[in-house]
Amino acid sequence: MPPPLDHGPVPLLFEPELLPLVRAYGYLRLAGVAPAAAAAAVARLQTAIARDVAGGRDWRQQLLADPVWAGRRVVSASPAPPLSGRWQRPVDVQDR
Amino acid sequence: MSRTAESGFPWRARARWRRSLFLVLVLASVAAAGWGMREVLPYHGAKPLEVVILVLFCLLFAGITAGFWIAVYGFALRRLGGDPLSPLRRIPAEGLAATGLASTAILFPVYHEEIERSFAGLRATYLSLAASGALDHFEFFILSDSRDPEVWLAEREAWFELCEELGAQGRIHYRRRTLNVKRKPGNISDFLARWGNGYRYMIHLDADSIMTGDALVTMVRLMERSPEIAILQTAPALANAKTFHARVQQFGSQLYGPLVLAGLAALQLGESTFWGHNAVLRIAPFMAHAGLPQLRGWGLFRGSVLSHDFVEAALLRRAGYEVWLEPGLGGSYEEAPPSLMDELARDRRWVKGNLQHLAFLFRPGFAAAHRAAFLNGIMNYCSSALWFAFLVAVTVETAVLTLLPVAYFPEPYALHPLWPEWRPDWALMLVSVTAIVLFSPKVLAFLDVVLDRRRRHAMGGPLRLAASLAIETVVSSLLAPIRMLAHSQFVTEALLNTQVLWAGQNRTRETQWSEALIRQAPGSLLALAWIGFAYWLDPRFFLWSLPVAAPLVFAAPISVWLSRYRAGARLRAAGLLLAPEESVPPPVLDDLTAYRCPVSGNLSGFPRAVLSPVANALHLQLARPRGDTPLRHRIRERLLAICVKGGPAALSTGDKRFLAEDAQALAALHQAAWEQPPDSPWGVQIETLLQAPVPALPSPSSLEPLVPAAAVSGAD
Repeated sequence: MPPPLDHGPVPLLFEPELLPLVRAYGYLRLAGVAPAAAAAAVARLQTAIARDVAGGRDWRQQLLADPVWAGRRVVSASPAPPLSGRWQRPVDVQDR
Repeated sequence: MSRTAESGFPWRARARWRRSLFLVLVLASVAAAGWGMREVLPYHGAKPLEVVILVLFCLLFAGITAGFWIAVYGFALRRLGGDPLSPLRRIPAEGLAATGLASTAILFPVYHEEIERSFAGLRATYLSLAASGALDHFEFFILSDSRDPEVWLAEREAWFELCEELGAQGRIHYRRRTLNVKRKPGNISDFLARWGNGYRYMIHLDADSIMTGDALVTMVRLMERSPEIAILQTAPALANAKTFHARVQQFGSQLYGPLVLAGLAALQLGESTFWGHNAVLRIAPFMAHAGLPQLRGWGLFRGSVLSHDFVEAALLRRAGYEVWLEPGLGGSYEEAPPSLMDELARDRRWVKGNLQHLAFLFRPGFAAAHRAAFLNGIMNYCSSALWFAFLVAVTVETAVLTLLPVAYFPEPYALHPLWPEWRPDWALMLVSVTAIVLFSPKVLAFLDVVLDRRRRHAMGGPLRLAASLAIETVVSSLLAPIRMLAHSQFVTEALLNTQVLWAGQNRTRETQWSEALIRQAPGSLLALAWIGFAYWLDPRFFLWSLPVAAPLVFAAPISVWLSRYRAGARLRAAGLLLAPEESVPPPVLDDLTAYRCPVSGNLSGFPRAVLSPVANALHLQLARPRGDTPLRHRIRERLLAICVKGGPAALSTGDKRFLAEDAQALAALHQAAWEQPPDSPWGVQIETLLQAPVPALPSPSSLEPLVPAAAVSGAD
């Protein structure tokens, strides 16, 4: 059974760290997951944790396995242009 | 390739004429003023101290009279429609527009700069270039020499975000040197060694530079049409000034700049100077001929060349290429330091570089115009020391004349007495002439604007322009003695070769009272002692000393008030000290002020690199591959343990650098930091990060705090 969603503050679930779910939500949002998808993933995470009271995979692993993780921002740094040959500044003729 | 032939364009003969006439005018003015000063001195230069005063006066007068005649040249040329010899005027506009472009690298060297401001300039320039339709021929290189990982991690992330925003992947590159050998010249050399052969031109920008796409395109076309030109320097106008101080400098540059630069360019022609930024350079001759020497003298004159740009221009000219200043090219901007304190901090670095040019003054092969440029750069600061010496000499002379009995027969066995003679009429005339020489360029610049309908209107109209000129004159007069004393100190420090920090510039902060009082207290005390002595000596001498001493006494409040943003905003609202770009802002300056860097949030570079999933992934990709030696492994484990437990504050800069350059460490830290409890150092950092607006998502609707409780509790 999923936990009820109409309570007030989000409970702190992760013993012993007491990690709030907002952290998981924030992590997804920072990674570029859209708000609704992130909220849905957190709800699934909450459910999974409630089922697995003995603990199992940590929350971040759970999130990374969630389908919404595929919707995160793709981070791909563009490569530097190819080198066009080594060069060394010539020494001033007065110093040769 | 070395060129000895000129372009065929007959500018050298004209340059000789113009320079000869200029020299005659300056020397004649100095001779006349020197004669006047000799008449004013009681013994008419017959005593050693009076000879010293006379020589110092002539040197100082030569400086101001050179400025006067340059302004006269500039005024005359501008009224005649511009210099027909300038590259922009001698190439027909239709031909220029039809000229093709060539591959050009736009270099953007940074060193611990304020990221939001510097990237805003780059972004505005990029957007303007894109609007001009010529983007395909240009690539941008951010060349970072930043040492602090908090800074370069943020630079790297800001670069990534900028590429994402602009779709500029593969067009804006980021390169950081791990060893910043030879400072900025070394940074440029590093670029050339890696990619120099891939481009025909490079355009140097400073961290506060902004250029329009049209200006960039025109510069490259001018270079394409003039293969004999190795450097084409634009005349950047000051822009985006917000504080009172910056607005005064901006107004001054906008008012006098066109006149002075037109005069300067007319004298230098193909032997102009290079200012290190807002200029286009032909790469092949630069690589072949602009190798900076390692100085082999003593003290200041040993080691790397600090102020490289003048030397590079002289080296290229020696190789037969031309260096032109083109004041007619608009769309080139830079910013003024926001406060006097920042201006002086910058000057402290520049003094050393300029004085180093003494080593190049007599090198064989350099053009006379470049020797004059070296001398002018040196005198820019040494004239302050000369002015200080002049004041000391005049004070001693006054004290001697007041306190000691007159020696009518200073030489034994002299037949005739030596009478001191006071000539108030000559003194009055000399003061009047000096004032005319000093203030005439301002009047000419005022006329130049008033006669130009568009500029006159853009700068607030004749009345506001006159009021602005009065404000600028008063503030300049207040600042002159403070600059004089500071520059005298810097020249002394440079000659003693004291260490000067190479640091990024402050471009936004106001001056605090405490720092102003500490910095200005010695000068204020010296000025108080001087005017006290002057009053005791002779009340008339006290009055004479006041214009110099009073600003020094009040230097701290002056520098604090001038750094205020509010005062600058009020002046702008009143339509005073207006720059033309403020009346009709060009899009490039609008883009500059509109930019908000997504990285400049509430966390600095290192915590962001650890915590932000996007930043962490980026830095993991860009971390250098490292062999995992046992020693490296041990260091990593030790630093990770410290960092996870104590947060980023528990690490030194070196520790952070080690971890930030190590992909394994960054990945481990990311995992561990997110698992820390809320009351731990990392927990607090996470809380801070989550309170910020979403920094990097493209959709405006996602700009919301990351932790809306309702979003979580209401999730379905």
